Amino acid sequence: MKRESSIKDPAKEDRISGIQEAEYEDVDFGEVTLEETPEQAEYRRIRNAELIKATHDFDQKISDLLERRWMEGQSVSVDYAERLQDLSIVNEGEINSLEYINGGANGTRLLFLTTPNTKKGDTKTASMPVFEKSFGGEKTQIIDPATGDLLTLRNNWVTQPDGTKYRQTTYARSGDNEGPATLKREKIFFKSREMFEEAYQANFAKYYAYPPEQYPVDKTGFGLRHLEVGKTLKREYVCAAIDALFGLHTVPTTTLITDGEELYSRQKGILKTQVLSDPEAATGQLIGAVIHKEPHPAKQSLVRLAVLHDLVENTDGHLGNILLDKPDKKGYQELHGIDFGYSLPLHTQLKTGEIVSSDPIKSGAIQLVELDPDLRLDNEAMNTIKTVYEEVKDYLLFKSLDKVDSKIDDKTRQRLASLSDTVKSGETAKLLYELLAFAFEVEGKPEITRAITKKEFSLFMGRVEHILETGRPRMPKTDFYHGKFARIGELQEQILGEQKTPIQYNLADTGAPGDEIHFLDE
Amino acid sequence: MANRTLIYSELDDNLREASAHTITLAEDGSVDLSQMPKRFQESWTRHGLSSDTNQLVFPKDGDAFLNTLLQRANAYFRIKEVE
Repeated sequence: MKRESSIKDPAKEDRISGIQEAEYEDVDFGEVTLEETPEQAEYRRIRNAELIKATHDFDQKISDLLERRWMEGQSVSVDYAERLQDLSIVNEGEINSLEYINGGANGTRLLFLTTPNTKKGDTKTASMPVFEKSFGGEKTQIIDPATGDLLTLRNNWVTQPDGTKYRQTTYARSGDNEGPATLKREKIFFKSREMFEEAYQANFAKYYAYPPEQYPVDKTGFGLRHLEVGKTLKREYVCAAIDALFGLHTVPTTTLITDGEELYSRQKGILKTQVLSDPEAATGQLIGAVIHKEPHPAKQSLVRLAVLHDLVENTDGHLGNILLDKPDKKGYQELHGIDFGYSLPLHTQLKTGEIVSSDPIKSGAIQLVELDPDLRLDNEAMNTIKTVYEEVKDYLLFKSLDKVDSKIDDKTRQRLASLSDTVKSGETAKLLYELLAFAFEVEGKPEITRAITKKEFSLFMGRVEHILETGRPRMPKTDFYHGKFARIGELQEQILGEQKTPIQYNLADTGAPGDEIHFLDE
Repeated sequence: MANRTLIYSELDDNLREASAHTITLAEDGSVDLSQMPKRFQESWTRHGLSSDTNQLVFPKDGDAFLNTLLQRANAYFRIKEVE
């Protein structure tokens, strides 16, 4: 095995990682467990309450905006009344029953919630399945760049006798944890990962223009992607909000809640659906329909999902995170996206000037849309995206009117003056900016948050612009920098299989070998 | 690690677990999928699965395959490790 061969030659390891033995000698590594102090716990509780308040504000604003669009007669893909209903159940619903679905006390839970005001004993009321994910259940696996080993980082919650909980982070190598060779490798790992992350942090600081030492990096907190562990719940929420704001309607209603101690994300469960990686989900039919340009009920939602994946730059959009409905009685199907935790990556600038995401974008939906160059986003979604884009642009222009040196011609000035008050107040623009700031927030460092959000906001608007121009998400070969779009191998295999599917001949006409078999059977 | 066991569950229409299939590591280091539904056996041995580092892993890869399965577990693809 690979692992064994790397133990046999310790000198080789040192050469790969570039670390001298003396440098890591003082790291005492067995299984590292970090516990939070009472002050940290108190801070966390206050912070959770703040985060929840922020999400409620966002939800309110989004609902208002959707309602306004509906009142103004614009096309809306998201039914705001339905969304409000979902939100009230997800936020305040009474738990009818629950089960742990991911093992242990910290994993994902499946809750069945009923409407908050249901009378007791009313057995007819249907309950809504909701998935509740906790930060505590988050487990990250990390590849050691020096040895290629897999390590596991786990957040645990320990309940004290008085009912309060404190957080514990355990960090251990997957597999056997014995022997001096293992210990040495783990020491190398600690050192090498630190160096690896420091290099990345320096690049981020350079691009976003803040002092590198200012970023409070928890170097044990990085997983395979350059995102801190524990930030995924917020991203999950923001992506669902962006989905609603842009009228794409591909992500089930998602929100954040807290029980006072821990932060949870709650997402409405979708019934009668299968992940695309499930062979029973008829992924092949969808692929075939895209390749051969045949109609398929899920095509519209496919482009919508691809557009969302592009907008939020999902780095985890593999087939297991895309759901396909089982066809209903009329044969209608839709695609849904889940697990947006690893989205909205940070960016760095290359020496050539190109701005690239720190992690490659991975999206099964974009990879499928790529197969048909004529596939475009439907008009309804296009119109909503256009509305959002114009509202943001107009507000920014309107704001720049006050500046002395603004070079805006009279015609534009007239148009800007006649804008509605909601656009002038910057409702949409501020909401979008605040959502991004929520995702990119660096705790306790408002200047850095602002620096990152400003750049990310303009990059985001650039992506929206591209979608409006082409009606499609960015494409792997042309629009992404080399290596910054990771094609999903298993999907590529299936696409190849679909393209090679031979044309089905009528055996009776051609005298193909099938005839003989038929004869023998008789 | 010796004798790792994973459990895969199919879902009913209410998203509750309806069945349990075990996936184990065989002695030769490959993954034993004989308890899994046929469609998964065929698909995974033929097409493989994309791992997080975007390489295709197959049941014969053993531990790497199990880790990939665990990484891809979510609310709609229930797979968990028995400890």
